[in-house]
Amino acid sequence: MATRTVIPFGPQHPVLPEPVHLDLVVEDEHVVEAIPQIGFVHRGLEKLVQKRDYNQFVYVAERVCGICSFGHGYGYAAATEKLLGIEVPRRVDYLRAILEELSRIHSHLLWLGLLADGFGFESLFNHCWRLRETILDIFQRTCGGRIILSIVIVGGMAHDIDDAMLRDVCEELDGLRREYKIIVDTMLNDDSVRSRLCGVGYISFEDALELSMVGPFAKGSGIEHDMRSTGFGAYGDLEHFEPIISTECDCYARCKVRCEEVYQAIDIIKELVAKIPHDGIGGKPGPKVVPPEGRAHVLIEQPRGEAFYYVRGNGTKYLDRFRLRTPTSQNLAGMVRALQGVDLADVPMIILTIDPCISCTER
Amino acid sequence: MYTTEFVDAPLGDLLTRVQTLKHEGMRFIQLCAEFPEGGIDLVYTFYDETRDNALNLCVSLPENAEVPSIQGLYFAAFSYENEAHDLFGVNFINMKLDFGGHFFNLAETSPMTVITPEMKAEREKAAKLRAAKAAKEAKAAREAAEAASAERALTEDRAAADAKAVAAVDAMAPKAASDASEGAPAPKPTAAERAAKMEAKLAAMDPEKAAKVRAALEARAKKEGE
Repeated sequence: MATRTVIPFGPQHPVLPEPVHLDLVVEDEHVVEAIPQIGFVHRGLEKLVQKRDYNQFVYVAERVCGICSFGHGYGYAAATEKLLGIEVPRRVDYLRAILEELSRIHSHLLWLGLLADGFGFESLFNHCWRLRETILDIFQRTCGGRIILSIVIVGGMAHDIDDAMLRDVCEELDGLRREYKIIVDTMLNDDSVRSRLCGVGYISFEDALELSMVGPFAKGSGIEHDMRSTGFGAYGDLEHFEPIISTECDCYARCKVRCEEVYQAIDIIKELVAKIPHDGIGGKPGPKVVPPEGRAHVLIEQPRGEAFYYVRGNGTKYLDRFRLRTPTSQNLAGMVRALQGVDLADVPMIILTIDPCISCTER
Repeated sequence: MYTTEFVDAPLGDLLTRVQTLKHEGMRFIQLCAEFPEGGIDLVYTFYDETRDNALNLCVSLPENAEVPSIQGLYFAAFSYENEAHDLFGVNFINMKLDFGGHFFNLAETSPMTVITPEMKAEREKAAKLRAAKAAKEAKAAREAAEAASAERALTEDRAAADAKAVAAVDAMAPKAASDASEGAPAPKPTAAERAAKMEAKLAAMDPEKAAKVRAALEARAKKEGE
């Protein structure tokens, strides 16, 4: 019988952009069990809700993470608006959905670059991050910031993005789509990529369902769950929305889902820009408006999957509680399951295809 | 668009309720601990894909409560349970994956149960405002009740006075009738009689005061004569 050994993986590791630690129990070269450990970048941001009033906290929420930054501001603002009973203008919903989809493209391109870097495909890494710059440039032109956009406020948007600028964005996305297609086709059809990803990190549909997995991690196992299909915000005005899924249940399937989601995001942006209404961008609630006693939550689809934002008001300008449940926290259980029985050399690939965001998870 | 429900559940029924939800095919979304005034609450969120409904089970915890772990039903809850233990000090029992308080490496135990000075001040201010508002409303209600009772008393007094006047008129009626039957009304006193009466009063007065009154009477008589 082979001897069991515990191999520490992380918190510092070449494939990990953020610190997470795994105790890998291995027999020979096979992982028998994986025990995750987080807590290296816990900042107590949820606690800050008791020190910053509900309008100021949007800026804290945006700083939870540098990749899903816009989505966190959006989710927090939407939850607080729900608690306050504020209905924002439709243009605000459209602008938020457009920026969220741009964030999805930027997040997936970043992830694709990291994955390419993970298996030593450095030129692909450079191309992905070069394309990502296009999205960051769009953010800079439309919002003023490249990562922290600070355009969402409780009750609306801090400023408008005019129609001419939105049309320019669509034209740029057409150019990006052409270049992206070359990159993705190269990657998905590459033999060495396939040999590293196909059949690795298998999670069955039943397991994915059992473990309540979300996002591309779950969609790669055939689960058709995507909060955008519930029609929240401007997504309800889309002609047609179908979550992208794959039934291979392995690392390659998760890659395919993310790659296809970029095309889908471009199509969504173009459709929303064509339909965007002109009914104002809302504004901050009056100085005497405070969140009432009560609870509210919203669920939005972040690039990594469904995210949950919960607020509890107590009749003062400070909220009693803000809770952010990120997709990665929900996928930790799935990650543990996916790592059981794999070869030690496949562990980095599996972790990368889950696309964990540890800063979001720890807050 | 999905719907949202918040349902209160006693701690004793938690596992049974979660088992039922699991049996119905609900997806586990999250577990959140919170520390409002008066103790720790847990909010378990589940999602029903068929009805697009998010159900929140809200459980209020008594002090030093032992909360049954739901990891046996939903393993994804392990990170939330360990987090609630480390940040809020919630005591979960029968956890499948228990980090023993080391899921987050924290300098302080249960940091989320410490109320910030800003929040404390704001809560006290809100409590004072609530108390002032309640006192104002109570005062307004009391004044309204007093005004109503005074109005009622006035109405009753008027009614009593009216009744008394009517009774007096009724009582006077037979007397007037008897007076009418006797003849003419009582004659007015003459000037001589009035003067005599006044003289008697003046005699009873202090001489100095009597002299003053006499002078005033003479002045009035003289004025009337002119």
